[in-house]
Amino acid sequence: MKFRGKMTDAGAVRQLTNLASTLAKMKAASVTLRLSKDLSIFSMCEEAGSGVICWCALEQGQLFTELTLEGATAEHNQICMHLSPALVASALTSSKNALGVANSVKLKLTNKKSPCLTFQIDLPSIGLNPRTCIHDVPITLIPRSEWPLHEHPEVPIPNISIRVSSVKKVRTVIDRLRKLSSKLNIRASSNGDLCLRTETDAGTFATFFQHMPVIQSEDTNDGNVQTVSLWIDAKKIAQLLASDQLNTEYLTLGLIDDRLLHVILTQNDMHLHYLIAAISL
Amino acid sequence: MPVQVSTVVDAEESQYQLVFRMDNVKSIYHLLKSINFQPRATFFATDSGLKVSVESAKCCQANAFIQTEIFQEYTLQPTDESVSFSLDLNVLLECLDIFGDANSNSSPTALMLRYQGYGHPIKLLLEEEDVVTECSIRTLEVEELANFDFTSDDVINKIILKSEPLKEIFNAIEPSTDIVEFNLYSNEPIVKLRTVGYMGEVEIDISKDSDMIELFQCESDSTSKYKYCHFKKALKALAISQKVSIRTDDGGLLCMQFMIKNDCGHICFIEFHCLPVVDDD
Repeated sequence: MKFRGKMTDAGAVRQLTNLASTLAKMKAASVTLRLSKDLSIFSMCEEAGSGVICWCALEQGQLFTELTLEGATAEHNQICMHLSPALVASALTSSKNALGVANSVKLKLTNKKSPCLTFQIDLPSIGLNPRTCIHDVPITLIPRSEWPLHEHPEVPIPNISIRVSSVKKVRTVIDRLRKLSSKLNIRASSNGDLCLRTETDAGTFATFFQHMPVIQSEDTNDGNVQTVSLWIDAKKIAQLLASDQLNTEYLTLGLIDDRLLHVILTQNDMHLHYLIAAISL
Repeated sequence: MPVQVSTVVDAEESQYQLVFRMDNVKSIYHLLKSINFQPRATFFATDSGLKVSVESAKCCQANAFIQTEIFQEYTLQPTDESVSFSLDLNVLLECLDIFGDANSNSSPTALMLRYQGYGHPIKLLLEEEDVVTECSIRTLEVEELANFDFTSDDVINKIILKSEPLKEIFNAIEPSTDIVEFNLYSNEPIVKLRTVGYMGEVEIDISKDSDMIELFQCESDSTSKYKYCHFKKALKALAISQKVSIRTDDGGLLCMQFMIKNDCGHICFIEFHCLPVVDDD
C-alpha cells in the first residue's frame, strides 16, 4: 500500500484543518479515513461497533495537486484507516506561521515503528533555507474484511428537506432550548416554515422560522401543506452545531417523519453529513 | 401560526390582566439577570411598573423596580386584587435571550408579555428579524416574602457612593471570606470594611474626602456583620450600576439601592436587603 498526496492550495489546507478540528470537537470514539483515487472520506461512528453517523467526502482533485495511491489490491484500490482527528488538526495548525501559510503540505503513508500518516509541511522562512515541519500521526490500518462497517449508510430520501442560512441564530436557539429540556421537536412544512419546539414542566417554548427555501418535499396532490416532525435528543444537534469549525454557510435539514434527521453542514463544496435518530417520547 | 408582535388586536388584550411590550428586551434582561440568585422570582404589577423580587432563605432579598417608561406599552387591567405571579427566573432568562443577543449588538429582540390571571401561564412573544418565538411559562403559587420594612425613622446611617470604585473594593474580597463587617463612623475613616476568612483578615477604609462618596449621613457609629455568601449576591447588581446608596437601620439591617441606567437612558433601581449576623458574644 502506498499513499502520497501534495497540497499546495491554502484553501484546501484550511478546509482539511477545519474539518479535522470539527471532527475532533465532536469527541468521537474513532474516526475512519478512507482514501481512494477519487475521494478522501472521513467518517465517524457514535460508539465503537455502531454504524456510521457522520461523514464528509472530499474530492482528491480539489484537495491534492499530486496524488499517488496504491490500495490494498488492484481491485479494491482503497486504503482505510483509523486516526485521531485531534492529531490531524494539531499537525495542520503548524501549516501557518508568522510569515504566512505553508508553501505545501505533503501527506504520506509511512511505517515508522508503527504505521503513520506523515504530514510534511514546508513553511516560509526569512532565511534562504526553507523550514520543514514533520508530524507523524499514528494510524491503524483497517483490514479489508471490516471495510463495509465503515461505509456510510444510504440515507433515504427525506420527506422534507429545508435549507437554513441563519446558522448562528438556529445554533443559539437550539442551545437555549437544550438548556430548557433534553428533547427537541423539529417540524418543517413544505411552505418553508421551520419550528423548533420543546416542552417541559415549566412550560412550552417554540421558535418559528419562516420562508426557508425548501429543497425537497413530497408532492401532495391536493395542494395541501405537508408537515413533517420528529423529536430528537437536543444534546446531539446542539453538540454538532457547537463543534462546527467549518464556517458553515448553510445547513440542510432533511426530515424523515418520526425516524431520522439528516443534517448537512455546507461550506463551499464541502458537505458534512450527520444523522440523528428520532426518539420516541 | 405565530402571531406578529405588532399585529395583535386590542380587543383580544382585554382578557389579559397584564400586557406589556418592549422593543428591546435587553433593557430588562440584564436587570433580571443581576438578581438571579434563586430560581424563584415573584412579579408584582402596579400602575407605576413592575417589581420583581427574589429571596434567599428569608435572609436576603433583591427587588428590581422596572418603571412603565421602559415599556413601549404597559396595560394593567384594574382589578380588586394585586396582580402578582411567581415563576422560574432561569427559564424566563433563557427565553428572553433565545436569540442570543443580550451580549451582542445585533438587532434588538422585541418582547410582548401577557398574563391572563391567577392559574394561567405567562405568554411571551419574542421577535427578531422575522423569527418569532412563543413561550408559555407556567406560573407558580406566590409565596409570602419576608417584609424588610425599612422605614426612614429607623435609618441611622446613609451613604451614597459611585459604583465603579466600590466594584473594585468588593471584587478584592477573598472568595473564601466568611463574614463581612461593615462599620460606619461619624469620624475618620467614615467607612471601614473588614472581612474575615480562612486566608486572613482584610480591612478597607474609605475616608470622608474620597471622590467616590457623594453623600454621607451618620447619626451614630454602627457596626454590623453580614455573611459573605449573602452579601455577594448583590455584586452582580453592583456590576451594572452607576451609583449605590447604602443604608443601615438600628437593627443592623442593610439596604443597598443600585441605580442602573440602561442602554436607552432609562433609570431602574435594584434594592437589596440583607439581614445581619447576630454576634455570639
